[in-house]
Amino acid sequence: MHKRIFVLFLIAFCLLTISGCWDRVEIERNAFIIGLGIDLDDNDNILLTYQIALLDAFKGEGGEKSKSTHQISITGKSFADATNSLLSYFDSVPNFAHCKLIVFGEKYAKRGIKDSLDFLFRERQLRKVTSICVAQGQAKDVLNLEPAMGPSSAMVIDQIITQNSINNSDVFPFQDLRYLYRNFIRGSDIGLARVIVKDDIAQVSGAGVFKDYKLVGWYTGEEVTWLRFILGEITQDYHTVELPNEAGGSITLNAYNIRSTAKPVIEGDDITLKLEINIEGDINEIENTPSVPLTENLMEEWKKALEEDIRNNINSVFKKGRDVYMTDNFDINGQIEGYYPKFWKEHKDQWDELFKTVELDVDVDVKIRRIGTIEP
Amino acid sequence: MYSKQDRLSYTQYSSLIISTMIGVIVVRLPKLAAVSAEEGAVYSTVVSGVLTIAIAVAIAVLGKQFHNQTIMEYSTLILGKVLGKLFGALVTFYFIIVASVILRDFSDALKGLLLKKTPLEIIMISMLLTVVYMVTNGINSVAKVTELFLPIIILSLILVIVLSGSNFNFVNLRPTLIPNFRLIIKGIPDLVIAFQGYEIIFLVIPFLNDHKKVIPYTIIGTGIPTILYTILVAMTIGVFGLETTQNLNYPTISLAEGITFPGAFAERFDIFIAVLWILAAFTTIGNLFYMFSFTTVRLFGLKHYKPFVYILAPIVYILAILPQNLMEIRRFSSITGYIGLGVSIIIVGMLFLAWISGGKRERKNA
Repeated sequence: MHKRIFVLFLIAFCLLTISGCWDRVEIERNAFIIGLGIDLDDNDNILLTYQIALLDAFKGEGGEKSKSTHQISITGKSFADATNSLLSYFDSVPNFAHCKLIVFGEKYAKRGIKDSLDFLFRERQLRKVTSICVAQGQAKDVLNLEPAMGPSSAMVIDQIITQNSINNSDVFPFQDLRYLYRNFIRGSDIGLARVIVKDDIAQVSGAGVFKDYKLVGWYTGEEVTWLRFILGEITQDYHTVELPNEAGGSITLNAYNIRSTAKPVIEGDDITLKLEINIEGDINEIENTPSVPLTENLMEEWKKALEEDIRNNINSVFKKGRDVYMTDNFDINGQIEGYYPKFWKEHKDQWDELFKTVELDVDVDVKIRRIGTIEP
Repeated sequence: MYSKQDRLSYTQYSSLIISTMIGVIVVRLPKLAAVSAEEGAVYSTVVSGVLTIAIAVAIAVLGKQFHNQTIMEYSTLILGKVLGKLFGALVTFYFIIVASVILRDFSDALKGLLLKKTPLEIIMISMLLTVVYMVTNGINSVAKVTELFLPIIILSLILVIVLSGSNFNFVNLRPTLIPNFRLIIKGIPDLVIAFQGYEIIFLVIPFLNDHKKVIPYTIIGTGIPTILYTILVAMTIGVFGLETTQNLNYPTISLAEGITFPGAFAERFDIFIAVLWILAAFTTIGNLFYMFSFTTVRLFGLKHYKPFVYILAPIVYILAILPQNLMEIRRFSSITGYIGLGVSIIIVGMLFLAWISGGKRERKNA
């Protein structure tokens, strides 16, 4: 009998305490922030732009395309403060759990992004796979764009950075919070994908170069391709090289299988990054179809020209990073930490100086496999 | 001595050990290893695991020798009445502290991770009530619950590890693969704490159906967490790098956050892991609470522990609510770790004593 009373008591107690859910927020009461833009306004205050999903548009039912996001820009003292003041504009609770993209505005990035990073790392709701990019111009403009395809500009740009970057080598890939956090902890410099707004469309191409978390310059889309060769983060690419007219004019190689491995070698005081690149591809465009039949010599000429061109391009991007920006965007410090942990521990603080002396040794091997459906 | 229905199978024995070992700590383990052992993180985890296996085997050997009694009885046989009781009190004290530390640790992490606005007290009380409900039904239901939950817990851990493979970068792991004995040793005291839970062997051996294969099943029980933990630490460092791992508060959850399936058809794996981690915490706290109530009752020479469970639950609650902040919890739990190590060392000492004078007693008790 006692037991029964106890069980009843237990059930009643559990029902009363457990079912009262403090943390319950109804799904329609959530303001899902899918994009966050960070700018400086004219008075140098932080201006945050939130892209908030309008849930009705995401239901997936047919019908005419209605507005699927709402943007709001707020000036605030701190991130938490600005986010909280969203509550005075909406009847719902801001939720970062589905945030896809964080955009830094150019002006803000030039002043330095360090003060915002802490919030981004500490906020529990922000996932570590949230993509990050820097806008050439205002971050606000990027988020305010109405994309032609896809429900929101933040989601489109996130897709480009995470998925399309596999096929398009102009996009600087894999920049999520995790990447940023790792580099931030290590004190390494970073590069972030660049977004350009031109004629009401956003293009993701190239990269912003950050030194000490301040934007110091840009790499173009073309340069990012070569940067990705050094990083080993590239699998396919189209590459065009100029040749004399009798050899075909400009020819394009569809490199569908690229393997690039970098390994640092330290000998005495000299640090060399040995880059070994193996490219396998087909020729799929020839400007001036040569009248001569395809010979081994011609193939050899193409191969040599491609190898030469790729080597030169990689070297010039490396020199730009080393001598102009003086910024290690090539993850060489990460490689050295991996291969020479002891050396790294001793020389961590002098890395900025050491980086200036790093040499690049590129070894390219191009294998042209096929030439398409017609003879040249 | 014990009724038929209280008997346990070997599988239940092993799963009791595993589920007590894999608990709250699992969300923080890589950080713990990276902070305490630095470059020696992976090796240190292996060494601590092997050490744990050795201690567990020692306890099991002792338990096998006195397979009709729990630690509370045979400690008085070996150490004498007074010392034995003192030792029993130490063990009891240890279990109550561990149970409360883990309860608090769990509730704090859960509040931080999932339930921001739910009062801490409610999380703790509801967890404790569930635990009490499980424990009042005896060792058999405890064992059955762990047997039921364990595959889910292990599977979820394996899933996190395997699915993170695409984020793994071997260069990150390289610095930790050069053996550095100073760092490996440095990590052991902190890491052994992460492996605690094997102490359940003290008490469950007398409940076993059969005692012949206790040693191999002890090795299985302690070996599985060792393997899982080592791979988890290696994987986390491979994904994040050592320095980042040191700075993440819940590296395992962060690891799960990084998992994306192609085409984003399933995301937010971290929530799934956080929920399954509650199961792991539940079995750990449940088993510890069972041990605590069991040893308390035995300490006072009583037979039935069930009524005492209700009295003891508030004690655990009060002890758990005492620490005021994160740092106090950390200090509390490292003190616990050292008590645990002390208890284990005494056990090994006792084993030797028993070894010396063992033969006679065994015949007497058989």
